[in-house]
Amino acid sequence: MTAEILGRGRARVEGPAKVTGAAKYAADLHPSGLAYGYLVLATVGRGTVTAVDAEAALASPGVLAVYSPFNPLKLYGGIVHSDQSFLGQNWLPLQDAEVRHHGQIVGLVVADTFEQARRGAALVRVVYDARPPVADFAAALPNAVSPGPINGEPDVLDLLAPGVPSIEAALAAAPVRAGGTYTQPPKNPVPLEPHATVAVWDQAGLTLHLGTQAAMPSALTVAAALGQDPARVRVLSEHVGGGFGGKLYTWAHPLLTAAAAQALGRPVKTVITHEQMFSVTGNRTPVHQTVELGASADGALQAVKHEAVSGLSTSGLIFEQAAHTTSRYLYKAPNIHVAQKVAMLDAPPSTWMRAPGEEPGSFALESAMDELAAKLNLDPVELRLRNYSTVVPGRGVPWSSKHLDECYRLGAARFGWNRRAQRPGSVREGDWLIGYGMASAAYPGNQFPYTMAKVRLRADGGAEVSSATADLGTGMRTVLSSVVAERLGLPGERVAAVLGDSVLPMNYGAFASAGTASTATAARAAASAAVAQLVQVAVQNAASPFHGLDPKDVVYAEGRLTGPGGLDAAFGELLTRIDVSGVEAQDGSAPPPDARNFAVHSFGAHFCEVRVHAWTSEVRLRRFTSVIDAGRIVNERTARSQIAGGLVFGIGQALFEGSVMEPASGRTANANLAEYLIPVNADVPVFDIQFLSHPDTNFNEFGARGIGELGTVGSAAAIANALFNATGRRVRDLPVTVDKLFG
Amino acid sequence: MEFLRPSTWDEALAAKAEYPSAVPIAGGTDVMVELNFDRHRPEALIDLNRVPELHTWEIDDDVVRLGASVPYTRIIDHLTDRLPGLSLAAHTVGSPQIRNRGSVGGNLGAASPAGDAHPALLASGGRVEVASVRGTRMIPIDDFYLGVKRNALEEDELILAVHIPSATAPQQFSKIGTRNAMVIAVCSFGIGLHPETGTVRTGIGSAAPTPRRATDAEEFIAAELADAGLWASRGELAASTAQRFGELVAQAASPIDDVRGSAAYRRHALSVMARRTLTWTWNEYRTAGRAAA
Repeated sequence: MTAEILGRGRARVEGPAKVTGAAKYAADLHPSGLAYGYLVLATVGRGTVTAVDAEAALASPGVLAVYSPFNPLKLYGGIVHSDQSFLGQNWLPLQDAEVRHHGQIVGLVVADTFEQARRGAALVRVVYDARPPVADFAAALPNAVSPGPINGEPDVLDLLAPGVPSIEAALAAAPVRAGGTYTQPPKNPVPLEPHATVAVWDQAGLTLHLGTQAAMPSALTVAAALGQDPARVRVLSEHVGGGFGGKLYTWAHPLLTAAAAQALGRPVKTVITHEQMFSVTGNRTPVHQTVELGASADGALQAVKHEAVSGLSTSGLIFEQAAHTTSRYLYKAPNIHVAQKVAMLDAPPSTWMRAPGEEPGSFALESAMDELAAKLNLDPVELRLRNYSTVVPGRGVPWSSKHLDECYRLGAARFGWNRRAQRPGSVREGDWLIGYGMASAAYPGNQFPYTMAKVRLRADGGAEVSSATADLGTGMRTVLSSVVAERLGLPGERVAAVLGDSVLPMNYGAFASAGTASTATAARAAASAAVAQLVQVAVQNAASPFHGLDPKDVVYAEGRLTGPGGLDAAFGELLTRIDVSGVEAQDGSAPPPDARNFAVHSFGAHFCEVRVHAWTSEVRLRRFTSVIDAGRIVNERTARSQIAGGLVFGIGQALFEGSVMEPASGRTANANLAEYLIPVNADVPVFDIQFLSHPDTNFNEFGARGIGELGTVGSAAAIANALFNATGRRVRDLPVTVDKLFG
Repeated sequence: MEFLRPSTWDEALAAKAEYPSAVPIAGGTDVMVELNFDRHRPEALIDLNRVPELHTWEIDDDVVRLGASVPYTRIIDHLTDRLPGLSLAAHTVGSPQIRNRGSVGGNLGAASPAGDAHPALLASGGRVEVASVRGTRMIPIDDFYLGVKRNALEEDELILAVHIPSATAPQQFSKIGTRNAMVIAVCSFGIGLHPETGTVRTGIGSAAPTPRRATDAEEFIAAELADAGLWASRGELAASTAQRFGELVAQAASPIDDVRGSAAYRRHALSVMARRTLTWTWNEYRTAGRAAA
C-alpha cells in the first residue's frame, strides 16, 4: 500500500497552510508587550562614526531606546568563524565606531510601534569622519591577493602531464584554442520573506524566532555573542520564505534585537526592509574570470586554464571559488590549471549564495566549451562526450556514481538537439532568430557528519519525525514524512515532520544541497531504531500480548506487530492497551564515504531554446530541458520544483540580476526589487525536467544525492550559448541585456 | 505630514488651494514609492480616493472623458474599442495589482518620461481637464509635458479627467523593457492613424526629458500618404517609407545612457518600433477598408 510513497509526486505537506496564510513566519508573531526595532544604517562607505545625536529620536513619541556605538548593547567578541559559529561577518555591530561598508548597522531604535521606531531612526543624526571606500571591483582587480588554500588544495593548482613545464606551454602546443574573459556583477539572494527576528526572554532564557536555514548553529552563535549558556538560547524557525544561502549565517540584527529585548525587558521584533537586506545581509561577490582551452583538431582537450578573481568583503567571509569548483574536475584533460584570487572590497558581507563558485565558474567554463566547439565546428554535446572524465583529474579516484553521459544523450533526444543548426544566426522564424544551447551541470554531493533525527510512534497510531533542519521551500518536511512513512509502512499523512527548532536532534541545517542526504538517512535510521524500541517495549511490558517473547519472533510491518500463534496488533492499539503514550528513538546518518575512494557529485545537462528579436534583440526563452542525475529521487514533485527554482536562478544570472555599486560611495544603487531585476513569470519558459534513476548507494544507503543547487549550475551558460547560436554574438559579461546583444 | 481626505471634488480643490505643495495621491503606485524611498517628504498628501467623479468615464459622441483615477484594468476591460492605443499601453503597466490601482491621472501627475500612458495619449491626441478653486481649464496634451517630471499644472490645480478622441482608425503601442513584465520602459512608442485629418500622430516614451511627438516623422508620413493618395486608395505602404519614418522617429528622440539601456540602443529600438507599428496600423487600416468594401 505504501511502497510507492517514495518517488511519487506527493504534494508539499505544508502547502495548504502556506497558500491560505495560516503558516506563521517570524514577522507574523506578536507576543504580548512587543516592542519594535528599526535599524539605522551608515550613509558613508568607509570611515568612523564621530558622534551620534539621539536627542530628537529619544524625544519622539514611543521611542524606548536608541543604541549606537556610543550607547552600545554589549556583545561578546572572540567569535572565531568555524563550524560552531555561523556569524555572517567578521565584526560585531555597535562594538566600535568603525564604518566598514555603506549601509552597515550604526544604530538600533526601539519603540512601542514599528512606525514610531522608523520615525525615531529617521531622527537619529550620525556624524562621520568619512574616507573613500574601495568599492570599484574592476579597479581593485590589480590588487587581488591569494585567498589561501581552497578545498584543501593550493589556490594556484597545476595538474600537468609529465614533462610539460607550464599550462602556457600546453596551451601553446594545442592546435585549436578558445576562451575569453567572463565577468559578472555582485548579486543578492533577495528572498521574498525579509529577514525577520522576534526575541523573547523569560526565566528559561532567550527564545529567538528567526527565519533561518540553520536553527541550531544560529542558537550557538547568538548564545556566544550574548555571553549566554547555549542551553538558554532556543531558535525557532517553523517556516522560512526562501533563503538561497542568505539565511544560512546569523547576521547582526538578530544579535542586537536579542540584546535589546534583554536590556528593555520586553520582546522586540526587527524586520528589515528589502532595501536594508542588500547591506545588512550577505551577497554573492562579483567575479572576473579568464578561461583558455586548448584542444587537438579532433576536440580532445589538451589544456584547461581557468583563473578567477572574486570580490571579498572586508567584512568577510565568503567568496566565489569559481575555477576550483568547476574546471578542476569537469573534463578529462592532461593539463589543468586553476587559480583563484580575491579583491578586497569595502562592501556588505559576502556570503554563500546558491551554487557558490559553481554558478560563475560554470558560466565561464561552459561558455568557453561552446566557443571551442564552434571553433572546431563540432557539436557541443559531442565535444563534452569526447572529454568525459571518469576519474577525478590528478587524483585518479572514480565518482561514486556518474551518469552525465546519459544526461547528455537523453537530454539531446528529449530536446530535439539534432535540429540545432551548427552555423550561428542561421535559423529564423519571422522576425525572430532561433538558437539552441546546452551546458553541463555538476555540484558536490554533500552529507553532513553527525546529523541526528528522532522518530516517535504514538498511541494514537501516528508517528512523528523531528530534526533541527529547515524547510525554506525545499520540500524537506514532505521528504522526511515520506521517508519515515515508507520505512514504517504507514500512509504519509500519518507521519508528521517537525523541524525548524534548535532543540530538536542535532542538525547543521539546510544548505549545501545536503538536506536529503543527511537528514533523510538519519530519519530512516531513526525509524528503524523506533521500531526496534517498539518491539522491546512489546516484549517487556507485562500488559502486552507479546510479553515474554523473543524480540526476534516479533515482526513489524505496515504499522502492525505480529508474533507466533496469530498475535497481531497495530502499534497504536498496542501502546494504548499497555498505557504507553509513545515510544521513540534517535539515530544518525551514516558517515559520508571516504573521499579517498570516491568523489561525489550530482550531475545534469541543460538544453535551452531562445528566440532573439532580429530587430530589437529582445530575448525570449522558449523552453528548457534538464536531465538530472542525482541518485534516488525521494519526491519527484518537490524535486522538480527544486530544479525549476535553480533554473530560474540561472535565468536571473544570465539575463537580469546584478547589484550596481556606486564606486565613489559604495552604495548599492538598485537595492530594491523594482530595480534589482529577478525573473518574473513572463520570463520563465516551459521546463522539461527529467530525473535519471540511479540510486547512489556508494554515497549512502538511501542512494540520494542533493538537488537544491544543481539547477543553477550551467543554466546561464546554456542560455548564453543559445543566444550565440541564435545571433552569432558572444556576450561574456553578465547579465546579457538587450543593448549588449545589440552591440 | 498632513493627510487630507476630501470627499468631494470641491473639498479637494479647496485643500489644494490651502496646501499648494500637497501631493495628490490616488492609487499610490508612484507616490508611495517616492515616499518609501524618501525622495519626497511633502508637507501634505491629498487622498483623492473618495472623490467619486474621478473614478468614472463618459462617452460623448467621439470623445471619451476619462476620470483621472480610472484604473488601467478598467480601461482594458471597458474602453479597448474606443482607446485601443491606450489599452495596449495599459496592458504593459506593472502587474495586475498595479493595474488595479494605477491610473492615467497618476501618470500625468508624475509626468515621468517613462510613464506608459504618455505615448498613447500623444498619439491619439486629447486634452487634460484640470481645475482649481479659480476654475477649470483644458490643456492640450501636446502642451502638458514641460520637463523631467514637470507638467503644466499650476500649484493649486488638480487633474480631473482626460478627454481623448475615440479612435477612428488603428492605433498601436510598443514597449521594450528590461524583462518581459513588471518593468519600466527602456523606450516605448505610440502611433495613431487619423484619416479624417489625413494625419498620423506619434508619441515617444523614455527617450527624452519628456514624452514627445516625432513631428518631423509625422509631417513626412502625412505628406507621403497624401501625395500618393493612399488614405483613399488604401494602397500598400512602401517599405522605404516605413523605414524613413522610423529613422525620423529615432532622430526626434534625445535619449541618454542609463542602467536600463544605452542611448544608441534606444534610438535603434525606436526606429524599429516606429517602422513596425506604422506597418501594422497601416495594414490593419487597409484590411478594414477591404472588409468595409
